[in-house]
Amino acid sequence: MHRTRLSALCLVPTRVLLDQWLREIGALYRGPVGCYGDGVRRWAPLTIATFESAYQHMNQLGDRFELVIVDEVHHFGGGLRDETLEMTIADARLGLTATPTRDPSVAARLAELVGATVFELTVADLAGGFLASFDSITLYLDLTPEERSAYTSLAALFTSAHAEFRRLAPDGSWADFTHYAVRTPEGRRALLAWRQMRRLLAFTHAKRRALESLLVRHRHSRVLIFTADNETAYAIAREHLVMPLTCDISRPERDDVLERFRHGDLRTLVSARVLNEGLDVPDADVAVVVGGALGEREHVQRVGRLLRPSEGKRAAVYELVTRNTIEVGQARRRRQGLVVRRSAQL
Amino acid sequence: MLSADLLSYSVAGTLAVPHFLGEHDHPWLRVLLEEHERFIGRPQRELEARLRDPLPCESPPRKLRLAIQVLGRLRPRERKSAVPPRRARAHVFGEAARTSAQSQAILSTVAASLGVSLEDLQDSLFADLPGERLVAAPAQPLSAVELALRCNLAVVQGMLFRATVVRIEVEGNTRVLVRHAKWRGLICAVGERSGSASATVELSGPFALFRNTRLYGRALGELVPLLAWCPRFRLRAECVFHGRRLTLQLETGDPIFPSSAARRYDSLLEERFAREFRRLAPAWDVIREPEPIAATGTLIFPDFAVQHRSDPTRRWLLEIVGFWTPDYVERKLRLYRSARLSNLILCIDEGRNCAEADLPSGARVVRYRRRVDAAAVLRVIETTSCSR
Repeated sequence: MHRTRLSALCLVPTRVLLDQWLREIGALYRGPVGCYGDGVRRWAPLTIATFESAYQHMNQLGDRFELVIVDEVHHFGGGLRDETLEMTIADARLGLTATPTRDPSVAARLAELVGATVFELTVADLAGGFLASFDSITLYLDLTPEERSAYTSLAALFTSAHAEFRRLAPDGSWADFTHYAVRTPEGRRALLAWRQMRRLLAFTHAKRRALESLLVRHRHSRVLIFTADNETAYAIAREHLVMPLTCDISRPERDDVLERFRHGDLRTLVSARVLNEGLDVPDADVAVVVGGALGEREHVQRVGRLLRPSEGKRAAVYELVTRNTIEVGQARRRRQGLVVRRSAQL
Repeated sequence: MLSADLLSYSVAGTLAVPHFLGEHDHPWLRVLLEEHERFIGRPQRELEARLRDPLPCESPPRKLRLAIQVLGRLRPRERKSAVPPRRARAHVFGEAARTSAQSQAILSTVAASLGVSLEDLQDSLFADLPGERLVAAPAQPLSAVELALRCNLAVVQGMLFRATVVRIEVEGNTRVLVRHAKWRGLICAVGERSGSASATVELSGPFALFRNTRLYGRALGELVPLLAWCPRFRLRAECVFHGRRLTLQLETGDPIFPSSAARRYDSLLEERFAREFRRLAPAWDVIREPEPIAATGTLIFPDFAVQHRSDPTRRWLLEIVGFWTPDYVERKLRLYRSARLSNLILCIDEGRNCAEADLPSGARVVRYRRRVDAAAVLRVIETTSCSR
């Protein structure tokens, strides 16, 4: 922005990031900073806006900026929001992401909206320098006999319907499968079984015990716990008296919680999605991934939470994976992001 | 806004015909309302769990999910906790970070320090979460009939959310529609009169000039409850469903829940003027928001028409102007001239002009301070021989 001297609009996905950008830019730049989002509509030659507000107000903003910077740009390229970028006449455009898309059609659309990739770095390139070094530790756990027998019968229900679908449509997506499944009673039972399987795996007996011992082992570290859903996050919060950070917790309280985490008054947080992306979580050094099914993008974002470098720091990422279940494949897929992915969030 | 899978409609040619809830749905809606009643005072998540199972009577699954969602938005939820939940969390999780004691011991310590029982503290911890809030009794009792109408409104709005352009033929109350369009930044084009309709209004947004966009769907959907207050309307919306262009048609008499009644007067000032004028001049009728007048591609909305009861050719239009500039007044007069109307009276607030310049000549102007003097208006009317 300084070099080009262009009027700039910065787009960010969430209100939390809006605050963060306003704070960081305010520290570097003396002039007025505009803001669109969180109930504020204030224009300035340098303005920060949430995706949602930008979408709503681009009618008025589209011709007023020459440079557009999009944070977490992987949200664009595949949907309604793309119109936001079509409605601005800004010539100069810059997109930032730690998790670029692999879908070629989305990537092509993004290149059309923002431009081609001009710079890439991998997590491995950054670890130890810009990012802290980290150990990735996977703990393979078993189900109890009761859990195993429940899992086996649910899996059988699901697999038979899913195999049938695979036979009919070898290249069908998950969305295609759900469309197909809701039409028949067997299909609906299969979907229900799938949900119950996920529920069962979210917080098994073994995961409970493993989490307990990890929390004891790292009781003097700053720990972030990631779960597959809010329900598990609350269960962990009640059981281990760990502060949950979910979408249900109001923003002032969230800010307060992060502040206390920064000062060490809280040492552990548990979250399903809120901590995934962008939020500037103060220095943490241990992550425990209890569950998560959103794949590698989610995983890179989560691990990124504890890669803020400091003197002699070595972070640890624990993954709790249940043997002989769908989690083994999920874990393998999500780890690819850290190895293969050629980019990283600073 | 409703998710796409709750929008129930059938396709006939290029028309999308919404499946409205009607009388045949009232029995199961009544059962649903009774189920709701039973959960008043209990946590929301218990009600949600109950509603995941089928009702004890036959109910179409998609319509049932629609009704549950609409009802959920209407019903208030309250929270009840011995300690404010945020305070409980700050104490409990803060204490847990400080000590290495067992969970139960920590809870007991905090409960004692806050002066509540252990159970109360545990209940308070997350009492503000959506699922933990208590189902409350509605402010006004809700009938199956009303619930059905509200469901229909939700369906129509959900369909309009996917609309790119809306054309409405409307009789009466046009002003409300145009005001809404202006407020939401829509482009509002006034077309030729067709048949008996007093105005045809076409609504869309600026970006729609370039491509079919759903950007304005929400603003367009908000028009629907306003239409219920128009004596007669016909709406045609071009919508895109799953990449397919379909037309939605609505008209007077469709079973849709109306918005709350539109206010009769924009301000106390107007209300007071109307009252005083009626008292002062019993031979004249005061008509609030008369029919809009088409003038070269735009509509003029006078605030009042004043018409002699025994001689309707003696008719005056009245506009009350608060904040003004000479330019503004000049433009307004030009507009009236282009519509070939000379019977306009402008009431202008003396204290509120933004430029100390004279008013354009030729305007019949009544200046006012704080209240519009009905007698002064009457004098203008009676001393000028009116021409239409």
